Parts: sequence; C-alpha cells; structure tokens
Amino acid sequence: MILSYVAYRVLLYIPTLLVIFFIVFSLVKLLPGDPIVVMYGELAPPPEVRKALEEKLGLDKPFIIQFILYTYRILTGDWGKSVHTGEPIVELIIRRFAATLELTVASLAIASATGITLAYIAVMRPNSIVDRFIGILSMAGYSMPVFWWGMILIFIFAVSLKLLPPGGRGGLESLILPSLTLATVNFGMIARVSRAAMLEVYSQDFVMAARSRGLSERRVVVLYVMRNAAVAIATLVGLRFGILMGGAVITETVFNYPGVGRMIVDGILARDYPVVFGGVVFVALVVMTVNLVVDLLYAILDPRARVTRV
Amino acid sequence: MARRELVIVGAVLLLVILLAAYIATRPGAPTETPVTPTPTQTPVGVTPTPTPRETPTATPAVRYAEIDVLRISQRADLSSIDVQVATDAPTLSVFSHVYETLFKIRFDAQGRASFEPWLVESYKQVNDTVWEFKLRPGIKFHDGTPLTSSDVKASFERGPKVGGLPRILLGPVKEVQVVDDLIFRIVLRYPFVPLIAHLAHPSTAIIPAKVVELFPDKPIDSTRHIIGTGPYRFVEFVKGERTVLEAFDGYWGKKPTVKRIVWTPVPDDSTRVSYLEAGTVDVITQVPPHMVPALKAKGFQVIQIPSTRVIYIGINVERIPDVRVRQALNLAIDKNAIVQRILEGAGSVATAPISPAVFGYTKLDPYSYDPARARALIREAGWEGRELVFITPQGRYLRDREIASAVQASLEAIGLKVRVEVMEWAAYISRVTTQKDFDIFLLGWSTVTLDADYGLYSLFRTGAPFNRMLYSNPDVDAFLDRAREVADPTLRQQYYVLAQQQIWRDAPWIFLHYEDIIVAMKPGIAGVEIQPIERWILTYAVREVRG
Repeated sequence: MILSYVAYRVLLYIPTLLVIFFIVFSLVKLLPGDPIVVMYGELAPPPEVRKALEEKLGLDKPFIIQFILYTYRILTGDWGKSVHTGEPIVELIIRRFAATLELTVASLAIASATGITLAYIAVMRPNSIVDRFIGILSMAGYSMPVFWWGMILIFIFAVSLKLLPPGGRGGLESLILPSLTLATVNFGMIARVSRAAMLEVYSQDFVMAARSRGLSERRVVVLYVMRNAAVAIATLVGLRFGILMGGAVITETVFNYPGVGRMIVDGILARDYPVVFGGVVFVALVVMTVNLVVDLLYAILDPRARVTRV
Repeated sequence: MARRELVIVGAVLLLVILLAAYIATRPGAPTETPVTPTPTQTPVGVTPTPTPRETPTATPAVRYAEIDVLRISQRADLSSIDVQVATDAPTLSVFSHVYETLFKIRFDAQGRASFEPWLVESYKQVNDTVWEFKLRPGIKFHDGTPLTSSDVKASFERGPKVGGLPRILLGPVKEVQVVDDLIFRIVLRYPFVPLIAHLAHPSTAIIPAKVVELFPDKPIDSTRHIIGTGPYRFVEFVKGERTVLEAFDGYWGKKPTVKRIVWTPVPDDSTRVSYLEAGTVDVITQVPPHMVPALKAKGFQVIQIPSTRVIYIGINVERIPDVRVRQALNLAIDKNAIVQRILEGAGSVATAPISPAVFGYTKLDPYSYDPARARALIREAGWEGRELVFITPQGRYLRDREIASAVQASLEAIGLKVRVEVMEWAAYISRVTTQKDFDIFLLGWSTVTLDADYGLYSLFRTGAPFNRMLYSNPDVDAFLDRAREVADPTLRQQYYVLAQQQIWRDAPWIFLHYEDIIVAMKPGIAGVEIQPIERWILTYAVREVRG
C-alpha cells in the first residue's frame, strides 16, 4: 500500500520536473547578457571566437532545440561543465550540496529544538508575560534581516571574542555561526506555528478527557497535545527545509559559506548556464523528495492521513 | 493588565537599545568617530607609490622572518584555471606567482613602469619586424622539464586561440621561429615597439609545450596542468573556497620567503574585513573606503595607491557629433565632488585618458567644473532639452551606480534630459559590446600592459575593438600608428602626448577618475608588493619578529 503510494508520488516527479526545466530554462534565456561576452570582461570577444564558442555551447540553436537537447542531457546524466572553470557540474553540486545540507540540518535542529521548547513553555501558561515575551522574541527572530544577525554574530564571536571563525567551511566550529544565524529566522516561525497548533489541540475534548483521568498537565501536553500538533510542525519544518536548500543565499554570502544557493547566484551573475540549470534542477529534486518524506511522515504521525492520502 | 503591557513595552525598548548599541560598535559604522590621519600617511591618490613596501632594511629593534603560510582574501575567485583564458585581475594575481613572462614589470620611485628581461637573458631588434631573444639557461618548469624555445613558440601559438587577452597582446606576432633550444625569433606582422610591454603581461606567460599538445585550442580542464616556471607550484583549487600555492623548490630565481599562500575568495566586503579583523586571513584586497579609518584605528596596515584603472563615461560620437556638446558634458561634472564624496577619497581626478603609471602618460588639465559655460555650450549647439540614454553597470566599479546618479543630476542641471538605465554586469556588458543603442555609457579600463598603446590604440583608434564611442580622428590615428613603429622612447612619448591632447579636446569621453587600490594587512607584515595594475605579489613577504 505504502509502496504503491511512494511509486505514485515518484512518478509525479517527471511532469513536475519537466515544468521546472522549462521555467528555469526560459527564465535564464530571457535574461539579457550572454556567457561569452561575460567571459571577456571589458574586452569584446572577436566574432570568430564567438561563433566557435556558440557552437560549442549550443547557443546558436533555436530556443526549443536548446531546451530539448538540454532536457535530454540532464535525463541521461550529462549535466555538463561550468562554462568558466570547466569543472563538472555533478562534482560541483555534490560538494556544495554537502555543505548546504550540513548547514540546513544544523540550523533546523537548533530552530526546532528552540522553537518547540519555547512553544511548550508558552502553551503551559497561555497569555502570561512569559508567553508574550516568547511571542516578541519569535517575532524579533524572523523580522530581523538574516544578514543583520549574521553581522552581529560575526562581530561578537569572531571579531571581538575571536572564538569562532567569521566564515568559510571547515569543521564544526565554522558551522556554528551560520547555523545560528539561519536558525533565528526559523525558530520564531516554528515557535509561533507550534504554539498555535498546540493551543488548538488544547481545547479539544480528548485533551479534557485525558486531564479528567488525572494525568498531570505536563503529561497531557507531551503525550496528547504535542503528538497531535506534530503534523503542523512537521509540515512547517519540511517546508523550511526545502526553502533553505536553495534559499540560504544571504547567510551563505555573509559567512562566505560555499553552499548551493551561492553557487546558483554566482552562476546567474556569470551567466554560467550549466551551473544554474544543474543547481536549480538539483534543488527541485531535493525539495520534492523532502516533501514526499514529509507526506509519508504524516502517515506515521496521523493515522487519518493513511486513509485520505493527502 | 496595564502593568503587564508596560513590562512588554519596556522589554522591547531594552531590546532596541541593545541592538542600537551593537550597530554603533560595528566596524565601519557610519557613526564611527573620524580618525585623524597620521602625519606619515600618504595623501590619498596623489603620490603614486606602487611599491610602498620595498624589501625591508633591518633596523636594530626589528628583525624579519620567513612566513610559513600567508593567507589572502580577494573579492573574486579564480575565473578560470587557464592563465591564457583568464582576463580578470584577481585571477592573474594568483597566476603571477605560478607562471612567468619573458619580461618583468618594474616600478621606479615615481611609480613609472619599465620592463626588464626576465625569462630571457638578452634580446635585440634585428629589423623593424624581427626581434631575437635568448632564454636564460637552466630554468625548469614545475614538472622538471627545462624551459626551451619550443615552449615559447607553443605558448604564443596557443594563446590567441583560447583567450581574449593573448589575442590582443600577441596580435602583432606573425610567428615564432625556433633557432635553437634557447634562441628564438619573433616575427611581427607590422612594426610594433610595445611588444616588450606585452611580453611582460601574465597572459603571455610561458606554459609547457606538453600542455599545449594536450589542449591546443581549448581551456585546460584540470589543475594538474597548471605548470609554470614561477616561484610557486599550484597545489589546490576548490571553487568558492580556496586556492593553495606552495613554494617551488627548483625555482631558478631568488628563493621565496613565503612557503605557502592560501587565497580565499570572500565576495562580501564586510565579511572580508571581518576575516582580517578575526585573524582568519593576513591580507585583504578591495577594502571598502568607508572601512579604512576603522581598520587603521585598530592598528591594521592600510595601503592606498592609485590604480591604472580609469573610469570614464563613453560618448557615442555618432549620436553626439558636436564637440561643443561633448565638452559641455565634461564641464558639467564636478569630478572632485565625485572623488571626495562618492568615492570617499578612494580615487583621483583623471588628468589624461591613461594613468600616470603608464608609459606615454602626460598630465593634462582636467575640464573645470563650470556648469554655466556647459549650459551656454549646450544652448549654442541647440541641444537644450534633448534626452540622453545613459547606461551603467551596477556593482562592477567602486560606487558605479552612485556615480551615474550624480552624473545624471549634473547633466540635467545644464539643460539636458537623462534617462539612466542601470544594469547588472552581464546584461550591461553584452549591451555595450553588441548593441550601440545608447548615447553615453559608464565603463572602466585598466592599461594592464603599462604602455600607452594598450590604453589608447584599442580605445581611440578608428575601428579599434574597444572603441565603443565610434570615435574617429585621422590625426589621432596617425599619432597612434607612428608610436607603434618608432623605437626611440622619447619620440614615442611625444606621439602619445600629441594623441592625448587631441583626444582631450575632442572629448569622446567624460573623463572621470582613477580608482584607488586599497589593501589592508595585519601589523608586522612587510614586503607585499602592490602593483597599480591590481596585482599583488606576495612571494617576498616577511613578518616582523620582536626582540
């Protein structure tokens, strides 16, 4: 049962991916500026060089042919090389993906742990000063720009205290500041959503029933409220994970962290098409897979989902 | 309830105050108290001191020691792993440690460039178009093979096939004739005296013939093939993370004093400064001018020198054929204000189309800031109220967008309408290169060969590749052509003076300014050579040892 569900979902990848291919391809092609001119900086490429390179990069063919060729190459595993450094895209993505994955997992772990704990504290005393304070804190977390948090953390821990490196990638210590920075946006959101979800469950009959059986408030919250709020929390964390995979560009820039997001942005600026396409397609695949996993998690967390198959 | 609200409001206020305090203590924050310059400080952008730190002479109190690892951050990563393909200064800085050229640039105390034989031991001009060179014997590539004339021939034949810069620099070369292992002749298509300057540019560096055989007409595909004769071997390149060089034991020249150099690209300006402040790196380049006072206050060494890059606004001469209008555009702009207020002193007003470090430069009087006269000229030419399309890149040059806004305001003040189109670099350079649908455009040009030919011929000669203004003046053409042919430096200089004076009068550009180079480093490091062509040579850097 569950296997056929997974198979069905994986099959859905194909049309989704084709649509993504097409959108990304069209968008990049619509951008003014071409890679050959960019390669030459202030100089101008001589016409014969331009022609040869256009042929080599397939830029001389009509749009739709380029698109078909490109799709065919991606599907057959030939993701090409960077126009500028000649590095194979697959190797580049794998290295960058490892970096991004570390960052995403670390920051979501911090954000989830903090967010859910804060939500729990808030729910234990709804509308108290503590609850309000947590509300303000959460709001501050996600309304302050990420680069600002990043610069503050760099200033305190790297420049003033010299405890941690200000950026780059290498070992656990270089992961701390960027993952904390990324966590500031997410913990607030997780805390707020978790609090709302928990409060909603809180007022339901089965919670009252549990309470009337004489369970302590803490046990009620942990066993009944949190368990039932888990679906909402898992959805949010799953969604954030997807966004962070390609969207942590600002944090990656502030901390000079070599992640997928920065790779794609650099690729766009240099009109390095293979890097942009490869990167976006890869991120799309990861996001879709994460969504699938989250959906499967529903089935475990919420028995009703197994029947209705959202 | 009211009390509770009060507590919350109080907490928020406290938070805001704390945040404000943090911002205020940030390095380079606008609230920073200005640091009074020390008397020894070089006046910004006035004295050209391209090599401010010569190899230090030992004083009794201070000794200098070799450096095991020197870490440097530039803004950009390697743009290519092929020295003949790369066109940008950051990449060529790295490769200048790995590869060597037939001639080498030297700067005198005034910052003027000259060229001395490097890989070649001696040379002579056989006739107008034939030059003979003899290589220094005993030079080895990093893989142990000796440097021979065939390597020169192979390098010069491959360069123009793969790269834009070698194509320009070696354009006059018809062929290389190998006489024996060490002697070769360069046959030119036409008399071309600036050849020697071109042979000192890293894009004409000598690569092994073996590598040329593997990649005769395409870029090399692996760092394994980065093999030169320079003081450093290429060890590692991880895109976006680091490039590592290591001193080459078999180097023929003076032994490097730095064993290992690690280049880390850090695109974000504030992050790069944090890298220096946190001690993650020892040297950073492209320091934003507003952070200079804070860095100096913290004891870091900051070196600021004029670069060879001139920032200009090109004027489409076919669309604006009236010289009065072009001169008016020059008179309308307050260049000093741009340098002082927008660049925060990180530049100097241009006194010629090329920089003072370049051979052939002559000091001309900048167009004065005279909006009244500019307005009169515009009226006289019947251009009042005409609209100009002004295209400009964003983020390519120091404060490019702000400069464009200032220029727009100034031109509107003399009675023109200006439509500014700000574009991201890739879109911009494609438009300025392939289309001609603009009236004026902002661009920079660095005369990287340090010979006026490169800065004048390719930009102002009729039909030249980078003459995006479509400028044409037969007199200028004649001067520039002659200056390529005459061997006598004094005579060449005179031709360049004549050409520059004529260009200045014809005003195919709004002549703006020379950008400064700002490099900061840890206290106690000396011997870093900063060249005005945005090239940093770290080979003979040393560190101070106290006691």
